[in-house]
Amino acid sequence: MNAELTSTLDSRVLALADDELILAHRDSEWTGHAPMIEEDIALANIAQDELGHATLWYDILCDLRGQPDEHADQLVYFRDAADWRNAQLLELPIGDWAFTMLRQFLFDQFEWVLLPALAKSSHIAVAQAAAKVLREEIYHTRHSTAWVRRLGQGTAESHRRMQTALDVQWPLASQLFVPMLGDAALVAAGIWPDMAPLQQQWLAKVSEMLAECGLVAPATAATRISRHTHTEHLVNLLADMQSVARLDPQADW
Amino acid sequence: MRYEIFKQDAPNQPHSNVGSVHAPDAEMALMHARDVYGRRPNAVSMWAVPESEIYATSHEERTKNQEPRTKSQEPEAQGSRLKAQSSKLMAHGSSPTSYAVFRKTSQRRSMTYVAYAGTVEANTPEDAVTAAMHKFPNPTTFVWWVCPEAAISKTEAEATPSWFEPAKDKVYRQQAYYGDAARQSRRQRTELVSKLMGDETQDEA
Repeated sequence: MNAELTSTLDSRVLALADDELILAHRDSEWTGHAPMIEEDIALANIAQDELGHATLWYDILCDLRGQPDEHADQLVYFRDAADWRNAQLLELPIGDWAFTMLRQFLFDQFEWVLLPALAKSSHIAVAQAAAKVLREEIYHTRHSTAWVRRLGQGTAESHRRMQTALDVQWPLASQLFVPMLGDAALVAAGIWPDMAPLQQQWLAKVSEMLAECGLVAPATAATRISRHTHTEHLVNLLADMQSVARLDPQADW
Repeated sequence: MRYEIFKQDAPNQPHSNVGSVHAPDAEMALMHARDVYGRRPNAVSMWAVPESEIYATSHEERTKNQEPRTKSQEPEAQGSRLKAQSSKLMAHGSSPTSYAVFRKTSQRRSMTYVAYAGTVEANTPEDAVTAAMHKFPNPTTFVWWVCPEAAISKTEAEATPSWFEPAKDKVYRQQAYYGDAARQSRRQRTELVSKLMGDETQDEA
C-alpha cells in the first residue's frame, strides 16, 4: 500500500474503532441500572462485545502505524476529544431505555450493511476482523430489532419515547456514512467499500422497521457533519473514562 | 412471565433444565437465555417453555397417589420444583397431544435438574406422566416434568454459529485469563488465548 492508501485506511479504521469504543462505554453505563436483570446482563454482554470489536480495530491500527499494541491504550486513555473520530450519535448520553435501544439498532444496522462488504476487503486483516465481528452482530441486530419493535408497537408511552429518541438521533445517524478524504482510492483498491450505496441499503432497512412501528423520521436536510466535530458530551465521557489512567500515566497495569 | 430454560451442550446430549428467565414472550426468553446461560461454552441449542405449561410431579407423589401440589404449596426448603397445575394444561381437549417428557434420574449434585427423555402421546398431563413411566422405566426417575411439545420455543439451528460459538472465543470470561493477561504482550496474550480456547473445561462460576 502506498502512503495515501495507508493514511486513508488509518482514518477509516480509527473511525470504526472509536465508534465501537464509545458505544461500548455508553452501553456499559447501564450495568446495574437496566430495567430488568435479564436485560442488565444482555446489555453488559453487548457492551463487552463492542469493546472487543474496538480492540480488533485498534490492533489493526497499531499494525498499520507500525506501533506496539500499547499504542491502543494511549489512543483510548490519553487522547483528547478533538482527536476522536466517532460519530456524535454514539457519544450522546444514554437517555432512557428507548433512546439506548434505538441508538443500538441504528448502529447495528450500520454494521449489518458495512461488515459483509468489509469482509470482502482485499486487506486480509480487515477482512478477517470484519468476518469475526459480523458473526456477533447477527445476535446484536436481533436483540435491538426486538426492542425497537416492542417499544415502537407497545404502549402509547413507549411509542412516544421511541419517537422522541428518533427525533434526536435521526439527523445524526447519517454521520456514520460521511465521506472521507481519499475514499475513492481506497474503494478502487478494493480495501474499503463505497459508503454511498451502503447508506441506501441502511436507509431501506431502517425505514422498513420504522414504518412497521409507525415511527416517523423527521424531515431534515442531509447534513454532512465531519467526524472531526463533537458535542460536549464526548468531553464529559472522556473525563470519566480516562480519569483513572491519567491519575498515574506511568502506572503498570 | 417466567420461562424455564433447557440447554443442550452437544448435539448428542439431551436438553437439560438450567434455570429460568423472566420475559414478555418466547423470543425474548430465548435471547435472555442465551445471555444468562450461554455466556460460557458449551451450548448448541436452547428451549424455552412457559412455566404455566409445565406439569411436574415426583415419583413419590405418583406412587403414594397424592394430589400434585401447586407452586404456592411448594416446600421451598426442600428445593422442590413442582409447577402449578394450570387450567390451560387441562384444556387441551380429548384428542391426544404430544407431550415432551423431562426427568431427573440422579440425586447427584451435578444432576439437580431434569433432562429431556422424549415424547409421549396423551390426553392430559397426568396421563402423559403415566405413559412416560411405562415408556421410560429405567433408570429410576425421581422427578417428572411434562409439557405439550407445541409449548416449546427453540433456537433455530442456523442461529447456532452467532448465538453460541462466539462464547468459545471469549476467554476473558474464564478465570484463568486474569492474573497474567494485563502484563503480557499481544503475542503472549494470543498464545494464552489459543491455549484457553483449546481447553473446553466448563467454568460455570
